[in-house]
Amino acid sequence: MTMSRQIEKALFDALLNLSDVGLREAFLEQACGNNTALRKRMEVLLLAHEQTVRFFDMEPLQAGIVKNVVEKVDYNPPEEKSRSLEEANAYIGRYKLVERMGEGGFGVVYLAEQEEPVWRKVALKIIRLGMDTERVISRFEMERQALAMMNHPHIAQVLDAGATETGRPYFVMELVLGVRITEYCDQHKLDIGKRIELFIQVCMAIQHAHQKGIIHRDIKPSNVLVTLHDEVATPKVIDFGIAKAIEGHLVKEGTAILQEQLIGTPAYMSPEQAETGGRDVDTRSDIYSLGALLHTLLVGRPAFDADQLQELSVEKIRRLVSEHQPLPPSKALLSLAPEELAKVAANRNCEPARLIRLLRGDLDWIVAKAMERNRQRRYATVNGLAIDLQRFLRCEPVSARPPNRLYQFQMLVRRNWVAFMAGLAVAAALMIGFGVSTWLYLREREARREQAQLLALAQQSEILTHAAFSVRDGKNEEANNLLKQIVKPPERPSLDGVSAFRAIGDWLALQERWKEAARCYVNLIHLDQLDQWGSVTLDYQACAVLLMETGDLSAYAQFCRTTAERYAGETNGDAAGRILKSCLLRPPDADLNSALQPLGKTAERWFARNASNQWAAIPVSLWYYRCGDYKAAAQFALSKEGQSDLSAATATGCAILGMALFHEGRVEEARENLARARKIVETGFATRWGATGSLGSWYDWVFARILLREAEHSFQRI
Amino acid sequence: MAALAMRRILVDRIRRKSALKYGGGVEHLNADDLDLCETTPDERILMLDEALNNLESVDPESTRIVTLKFFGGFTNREIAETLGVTERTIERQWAYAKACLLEMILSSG
Repeated sequence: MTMSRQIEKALFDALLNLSDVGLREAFLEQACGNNTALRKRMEVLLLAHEQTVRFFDMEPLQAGIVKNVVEKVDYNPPEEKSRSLEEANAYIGRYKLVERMGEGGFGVVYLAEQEEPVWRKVALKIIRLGMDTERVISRFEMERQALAMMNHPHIAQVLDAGATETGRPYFVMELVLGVRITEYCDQHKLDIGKRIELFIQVCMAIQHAHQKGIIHRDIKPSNVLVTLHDEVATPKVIDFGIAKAIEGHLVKEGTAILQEQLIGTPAYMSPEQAETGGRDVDTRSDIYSLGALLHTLLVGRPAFDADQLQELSVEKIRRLVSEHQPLPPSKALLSLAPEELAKVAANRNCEPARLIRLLRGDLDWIVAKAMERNRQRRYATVNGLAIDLQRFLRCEPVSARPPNRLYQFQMLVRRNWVAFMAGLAVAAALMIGFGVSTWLYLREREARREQAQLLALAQQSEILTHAAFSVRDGKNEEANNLLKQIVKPPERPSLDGVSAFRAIGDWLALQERWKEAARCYVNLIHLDQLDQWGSVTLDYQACAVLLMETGDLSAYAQFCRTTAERYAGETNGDAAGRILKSCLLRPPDADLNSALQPLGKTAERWFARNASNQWAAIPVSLWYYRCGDYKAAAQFALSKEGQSDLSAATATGCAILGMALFHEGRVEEARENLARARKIVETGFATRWGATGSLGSWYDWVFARILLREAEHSFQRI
Repeated sequence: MAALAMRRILVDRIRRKSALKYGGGVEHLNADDLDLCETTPDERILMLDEALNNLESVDPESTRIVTLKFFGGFTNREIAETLGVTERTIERQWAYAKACLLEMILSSG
């Protein structure tokens, strides 16, 4: 900076300090002396200075700058004026503004005081965007009523709503002074168990709201605060329903308002919210957000990285949220840098390795189930999520897990039957209360209907659970009756259902009640298909056998078609073999044949590596037989293992061998083998195959018998 | 840095908005023709930006203060802390800068 400028500045400052005009004159005279240019300059500056007050009127301009640049809302001067007006008068309705607390997605939040009818401090939130006042207010009135009816210790109450003179709507809410739940947990170094306990309380609050028909839509850490209530850490959910009340009115044509301001925070937004812009949203959307929140509490950062999201455009965010499956908590931890991981673990009061172990398994499953992209696969109710978390805390098996063995599973049923029923009973009881106003009644009725649907789904699960329970007690007939109640194929994966259907299906098959058994197994297959984890191919085998036994050939054909298609890409040799042979109990038609080609190849490969295993031999030799390659069929029908023993597998092999030999013209050998097969089968059936499992389960025997029947039939036609 | 960015973004947006409104480029605002009380904040910001550009070469210090205070919204204290001077210094510089800029705006055109 030049000397002259420095002088200017110094002079200027000095002049400003002299308020008296006369003194200023004198000073100028002294300081500038003969330097008229300087003197002129200072006079000009002084003049300008007087005007600066008006020109540089900071507040509105600055507020405008912040909004314009940082929050990408159309710069709207009249709003600015009114806002500073509000601040100047400091009264909105009957609430006196005290202090500005912060800015949120939609507006500004002030600390305010209410004087009538009772003095208290409240939080007042003014919605910023320009909206049509009357429409919005009436809608607010209704929302306010609904929200006011929610009386829950963990929900911040909405006390009032209205509009300012300038037409901006506002909400008055219970003042919650607290920290975000994520920060609270970190500050106090809460371990996983305590975090989950806190979270469960939040779940209770959300469940309460859902039963009142209110969806939060914007669950995220900044909306779940923890305050101290009588020394006890109490979580409180805020901003309920506000997102919804506003949402309907944000659609301004042309502008990118709705586009650029996604309602909800991207990291916690459910896929359906991201995709439809919040139009097709139900209670399960909240469940997703809760899952995301849980993830953050467990891992220290959101499932979708917030920083990453900042960079992306709205389009990309939408696509990311709806298509990308986030990492489960234990894996997310593994992806952190070591120092970060150490910090996260320290905040949870444990070692990194132990933390990962703790999250792996059940908690992973729970979070994954809550955050399923397909909302039908999520928990149907928040209660379900809460109950699973409680089970986790009590070291009990969790429902979100994939299928397990029947025995372990029955243990699970027994232990949790009470809790499960209790949850349902509470939910049902709570739903009976109605609001007074008609509108509320209607709204709640709709919510109830929705809940009832979910409840019906849950009831189906209940029946299945009950059935599994009966099975455990050995009351099979009772279980069968329960299962008969399931008329429609079950819609949700259910471990109870799987085990019950299978157990009863087997039991019925042993009694040769083929039709009933077939029904069980068809339902079972349906459940198997719902479950992303199981390809329980043994069930398919059993189902195939049953359908044949009932003589319902079209059902069997249908079964073969869908199964072959479904498993065409199966790479596991064992599974492929089972599917293959299940579909070959009759000669296949041309379509089925081509559908089975890939399976045939896979089975061949499997057999090549397991040539001595009789089980592996059957699918392959049967396949060759059906394709007309009798030589190969004969060659492979009996493996080394199968030469000697009396199992169902051997019987099957003999039957196939017999048929193949017959076609080759080696009639005597064929007859021998068929006789042998018949002997084995008769013995097997006579000793009630159920008694010993090692020679083959019941469906293996029935399978053998079916093929034997076919063989003998064609043999007789000589 | 952030304040500078904000300034650029803001001016850009306003320019674009004006362009949409009046079509074509934005002409230099003639300060003489405008009564200061009637300028919209948008216009003021544009004028300010132009003046700042001019001021930058001769008095970078003042320019910086204005950018930080006006476009960045920092308080005197914050700026003082950042620059390592007293609050009083900032006040002084801010007063001077304002006067200078306004003088430039009034005398241009």
